[in-house]
Parts: sequence; structure tokens; C-alpha cells
Amino acid sequence: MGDVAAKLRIMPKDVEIDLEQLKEKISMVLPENVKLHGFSIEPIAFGLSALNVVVLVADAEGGTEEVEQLIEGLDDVESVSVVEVGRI
Amino acid sequence: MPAEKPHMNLAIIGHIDHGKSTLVGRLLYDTGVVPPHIIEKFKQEAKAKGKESFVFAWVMDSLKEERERGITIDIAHKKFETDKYYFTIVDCPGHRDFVKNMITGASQADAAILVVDAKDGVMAQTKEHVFLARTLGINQLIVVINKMDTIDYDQKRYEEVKKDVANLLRMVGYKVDEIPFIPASSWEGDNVVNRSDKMPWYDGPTVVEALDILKEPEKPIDLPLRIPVQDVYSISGVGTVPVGRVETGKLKKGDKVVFMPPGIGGEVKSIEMHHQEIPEAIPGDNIGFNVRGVGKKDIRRGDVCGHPENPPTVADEFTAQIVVLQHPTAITVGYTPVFHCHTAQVACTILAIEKKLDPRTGQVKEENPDFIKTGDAAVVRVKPTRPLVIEKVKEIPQLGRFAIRDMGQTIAAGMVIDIKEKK
Repeated sequence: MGDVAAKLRIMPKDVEIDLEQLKEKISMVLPENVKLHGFSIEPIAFGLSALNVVVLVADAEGGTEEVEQLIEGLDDVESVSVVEVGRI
Repeated sequence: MPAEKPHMNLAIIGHIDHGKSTLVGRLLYDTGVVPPHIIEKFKQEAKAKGKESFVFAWVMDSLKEERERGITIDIAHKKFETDKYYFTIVDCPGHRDFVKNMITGASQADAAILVVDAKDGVMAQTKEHVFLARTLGINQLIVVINKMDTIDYDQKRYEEVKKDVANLLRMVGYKVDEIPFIPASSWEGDNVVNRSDKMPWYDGPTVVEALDILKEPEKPIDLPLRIPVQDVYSISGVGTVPVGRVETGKLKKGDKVVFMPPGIGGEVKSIEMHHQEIPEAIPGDNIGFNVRGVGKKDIRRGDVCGHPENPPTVADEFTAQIVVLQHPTAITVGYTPVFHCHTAQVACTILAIEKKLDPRTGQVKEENPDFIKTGDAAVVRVKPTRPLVIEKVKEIPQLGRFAIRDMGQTIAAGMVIDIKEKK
């Protein structure tokens, strides 16, 4: 039933985390049925930046849950929140 | 120089296959958003093949491909403008498991177009989406009775469907007299942007005209300050830095603030956004702010920052209207699923099911029912298992909505009607 683009904001554990390395780790954990669309780094405050990632998932059961959990499971990640969803 | 047009987020809702995507395509096509080179390419191709009527369909397919290729980091939201507004279309996913994202996400819709197939009339998802729109706080609605071409533009059938939809809307609390109902065919382009000559009996607005009479959304800046805490950091040389999005109100440097539920207060020493210091933060801003007098361990995700003279409300119990989206069996008193509200996730117990509502008539179907199941709407009393900040949807809508999750699924969505405060 078509695809849904979801933008996830990933907050690192602390200011020291290397977001470039985190990108690679995220690319590795994404399951096959999820298409990685792109990353961007969003500066927040006091040297702290969020890593935003856009993925394409099926408009089907489970929604963004699996992706959220897989990324949340990474050591360097403090939190994951889905900030936008929309059918493409 | 003309003043800039106000911006609105527009959700497109309705039953599957009732023509949501076609309506979106038609809006973009007829308002001139589709790049001319795409239209031209297909016009020539269609002419060569003698299939002029296919142009619109081909353009739709091609747009989808372009979007798939084109989206990188900004979600492929579609934009168009009318005389009065800039619109960004929020094309809502169909599956229920995305409801959580629609409730806790950043892009709240200011208005919605409900699409109903003139032949099918009100279907299961029509009801569900109407409930959800209400729950999500979308107060302005436009109803498009679509695919009028498939019923030969028949006024009698249109009136029947209109009556059913009106009943449904009235039941969930919409003021039906203020909602435009528009007979249209997105496929043929009738009454979307261009007025149709096939329905002389209709003298109301076209879809685009109806969009122009929407009211400008209220600005959350005038509400009390609420910043749900996303994460808390301790940054060397700075101190404790909570991070989050300002939902309502305004935060200024030097403000005294309080974090609820812990009830710990401090003074804002500085606010940063995009690594720049800013004197004040307004709704929509993603900020980090340094607070003197608050330690990293004092506060956590799900706490809410406000001003001490109007602090965030901590609920001992609350009353909510919910709609059950999917549950394998039935929801009964004592059930304790997880409520997702702003950045908080707290298990809450259903203390009482006060009423079950009839989706057809809007009347109370049953007082104190033993259970509710998929498709039911109900008024329930709820007790959080640990302190939770939540607000009445009438007062601070941004913090008055929640999704209920259990077993990895979004099982219900709801809004807070009343709160018994924790003393």
C-alpha cells in the first residue's frame, strides 16, 4: 500500500559521540525492508547535535516501531523520536 | 511588498481508495505546482498515442517517482498555494500503527480534507479518521464527496452521503453547519480547483475556495509555557542542559522555570538553538537551555518545563475520550497499557469505562459497559502508575492528546477531557 517516509531525530549519549560513525552503525542495523534515504546533522545547543535520518517504510503493520527500536538499541544513542511521517 | 501569506498544514484523510492521492494530485496539477516540463512530456506522449485523457494519470505516476528519487532529508511534503494561504499537505499513512507518530510528531495538521467516495459512502476508515482528526485536535474540516463522475453527478445520492457524513461529524463534536460539503471528481477535475459545469444544482465553494475560507490557526505562543523534556545532558563548562521542542508559550533568558512532576525549579541562564544563543524561544523551536539550580539527575525525559506561576499539570487521575483502533480481544477495567503523551511514556490503569458512544447516532450507547473493543469510542477514567504531566485538550491541546500502546501496537488514541490534579 505504498511507502511512508519517516524522519527520525536521534540524540547521541553525549557531546563526544562521533556522528559520522553513528551514521555507519545505523546503516548497518537497518533491516532489508527499510530503505535508508539520507542523513542530516542538526545543530542543537552547546556543542550538541542531533542526527536526523529519513527512512522509507511500508504503510503497514508495525509502522516505524522496528526501526526505532533497532536504533535505540545502539550504545551511542540516547533517544530516538519520529518527528515527521508522510506518504510519498 | 505584499505581506507574506500565512502557512497551514493540511491533512488528507479518508477511507482507502476513496481518492485521497488523486485529490492531492489534482490540487497540485490544477494549481500549477507540477513542473511544466513533466506535463508537456506526457501531453505529447498522450497525443501521439491518441490517449489525451491519460495525461493526468501519467503525471501522477511520474510525480511519485520524482518524489521517491528526490526526498533526502526533508520529507516529501507537497506544497501549493491559494489566494490566501500556503499549504503543506500531510498525506496521512493509512495504517493504524502510524497514529502514534501523528500524535507525538512535530507537524500537527491545522485543517483536514475528508475524502468520501460518492458510491461507497461512509466506510470503516472514514469513521476512524474522523475520530482521529477530532482526537488530534483538527478543528477545521472540509468534506469532499469524491468520484461524482461514477454516479453520473447524481444530486440525490450526493445528499444521502452528505447526510451520513454529517451525522458522523456531529457525533464526534464537529459543528456541521460550519463545514463545507463539496461534490467533486478529482479524476475529472470537477469542483477541485475549477468549477464544474456538470452539477448546476451545487452553488457552494470549490475545494480551493473552501480552503481560502479556513480560519488562520491559533498561535500556540499565547498559551502557557510547556516544553516536554526530550533528553537531559550534563555538558562540561555549561552545566545541566535539558533539550526539547517548545510546544506552547515563550521561554526567555532569565525566566524562573519549574519542571513537573518532580517540582524542581531553577533559573534559565541561556538558551541555544542551532548552536546560537537566542534571547527567547517560541513554539516549534528545538532548543537546549541551561538551568541554574537543576541537576542532571533531578529531571528526565517526559518531564515538562513551565513557569512557576502556571506550572504543568500533574494528574492523579484523568478522564478521556478514546477510540479503540485495534485490540485482539477487549479492553476492561484494570487494563494497564502504556500511554504515549508528548515525550512521556507511562503505564496507566483504566479505572472505569464510563460510557460507550454510538458511532452512528452520537448518543451514549451504554453506561458503564463491561468492555470496549475495536471500533468503539468511549469515555474512560484513567490513573497513571507514576506521576504524569498531561493537560486538558481544551486548554493546551498540544499536551492533551495521547496514543495507547500495548503488545507493539497502537491500540487506541484519545484526548483528555478532565483532570483530577495530584496534590
